[in-house]
Amino acid sequence: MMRLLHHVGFSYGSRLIVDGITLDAAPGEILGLMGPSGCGKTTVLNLLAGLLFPAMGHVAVMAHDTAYVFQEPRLFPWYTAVENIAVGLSAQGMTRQRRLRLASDLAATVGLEKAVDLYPTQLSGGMKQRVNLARAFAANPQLLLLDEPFSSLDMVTRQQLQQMVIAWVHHHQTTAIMVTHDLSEAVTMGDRLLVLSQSPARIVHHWQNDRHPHQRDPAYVYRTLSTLQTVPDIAASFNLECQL
Amino acid sequence: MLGVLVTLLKMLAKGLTQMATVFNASDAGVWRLTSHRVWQRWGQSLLPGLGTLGLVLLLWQWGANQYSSVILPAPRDVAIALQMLIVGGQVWTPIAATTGHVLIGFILALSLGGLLGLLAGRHPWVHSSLAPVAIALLGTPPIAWLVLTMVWFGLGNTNSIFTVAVTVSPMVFAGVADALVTLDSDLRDVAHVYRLRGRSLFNTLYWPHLLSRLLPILVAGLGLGWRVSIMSEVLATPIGIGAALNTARANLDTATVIAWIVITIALVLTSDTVLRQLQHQLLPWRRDRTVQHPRPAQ
Repeated sequence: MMRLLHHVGFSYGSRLIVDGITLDAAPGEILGLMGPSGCGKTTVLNLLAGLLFPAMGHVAVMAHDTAYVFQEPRLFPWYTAVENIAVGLSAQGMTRQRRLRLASDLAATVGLEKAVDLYPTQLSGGMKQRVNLARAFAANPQLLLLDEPFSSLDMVTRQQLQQMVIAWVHHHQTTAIMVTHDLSEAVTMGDRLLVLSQSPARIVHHWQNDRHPHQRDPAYVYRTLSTLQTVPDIAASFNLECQL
Repeated sequence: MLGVLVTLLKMLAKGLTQMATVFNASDAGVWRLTSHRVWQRWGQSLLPGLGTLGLVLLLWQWGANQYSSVILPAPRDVAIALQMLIVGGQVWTPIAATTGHVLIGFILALSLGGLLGLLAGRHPWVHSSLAPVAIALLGTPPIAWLVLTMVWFGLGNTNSIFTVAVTVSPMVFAGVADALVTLDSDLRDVAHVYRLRGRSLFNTLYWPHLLSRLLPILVAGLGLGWRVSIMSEVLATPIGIGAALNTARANLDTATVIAWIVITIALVLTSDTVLRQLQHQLLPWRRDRTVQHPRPAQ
């Protein structure tokens, strides 16, 4: 286990958003982060990415070991798919040619070999999200942050990309923190699940997935979902979300 | 002129390539179909324009028959005047002078407007201080500046150069400041997360964004520069296309006046085409926004 956040707090002005969160995770582990809308899940990811600075506590992860799959693809409109993927390699001091070659290989890995020369305006939502994912893979991070990366995708694309992330994380022994609103996604992908309270965010529930990713068949997922929904903190989290 | 030649050659090469594609089609049926489509496309884009041009020439000829050649010379007389200007070599000195006025004024506008725009984009207080001045300058008619320059500098090249610079620089200022202010903060975050720094950050984020915002403004600014320069040459500068126009007017040589107008239109269109081609080359991602969704590999 490595310490990522240590008693971290964060405020926007006088409004406390995150209240003393401590986060540990192991290499090769996917940690699901759930909670009501607006409770501060994305703020936690932004703190881990170095986009925000904590008001108290400290972030124990090195920024140069982090990659971020944003909820919206956030691609550079003037770059082709392969050039956008190569942005993830920018900090590694390679020649442009080498970066583009590696980015092409990654594009093929995420099923984009026919779209490498297309600009973001020419790509569908699913293709853009594949580029977003490949860009993060390119950085070869120790910590992969995912902010509801599959929420706007169709079911088939979503399942493909979920499996890609699982395979990548386990193969490269990367630690992944994934914000999700989808409990079945959290059970399918997450090795552990942390539930945050309504703002200010505190960890109110912790759940350990006792199955290996390859053993999480639909029957197991449905069974676990029905159990989890009876947990008061998780039920409260979803009730609060409905009210919002 | 070199730019014009290069553009014309490129267009010719493109046309020939298109023709070659048509003639190389081995299947006769495909050839007929492709040939039909090419003609159809040319017909759709060229015929209406040629038709309007023909109608204007007819109306012009009809008008010329009604009035004396001092009021409205016939198209043929203008063509002859144009030919005499070109063959006699009288076009090059005024064109060179006007081009010089436009380019020097334009470079001054880019330097001044660009520098102040950069400052305004980085520091909000500079933006707040300079924005009212820029708005006032944008709203000032170029002719007002020309009157002032005649008072300040007398008659000479400085009038045209100054008027172009002072008219175009607020456009550049507003464009650069706006480009910096509107830089997408989401993309800044991406650049931060992927540790883009220094030159890499400039090349990946700032430069393409600035270029995409500035090129359309430069196209419009250069077009304005030509018009302003020629106008100020008519009134306050001894050489240039405007001065030649004024001389022809004084000689009641209306055919030559119209010939100079034709030359001016050709120049403005050429510079506009060259800049648009440049824009096309430098901003390929804006060229084709047609959505193509190839199926991802499963």
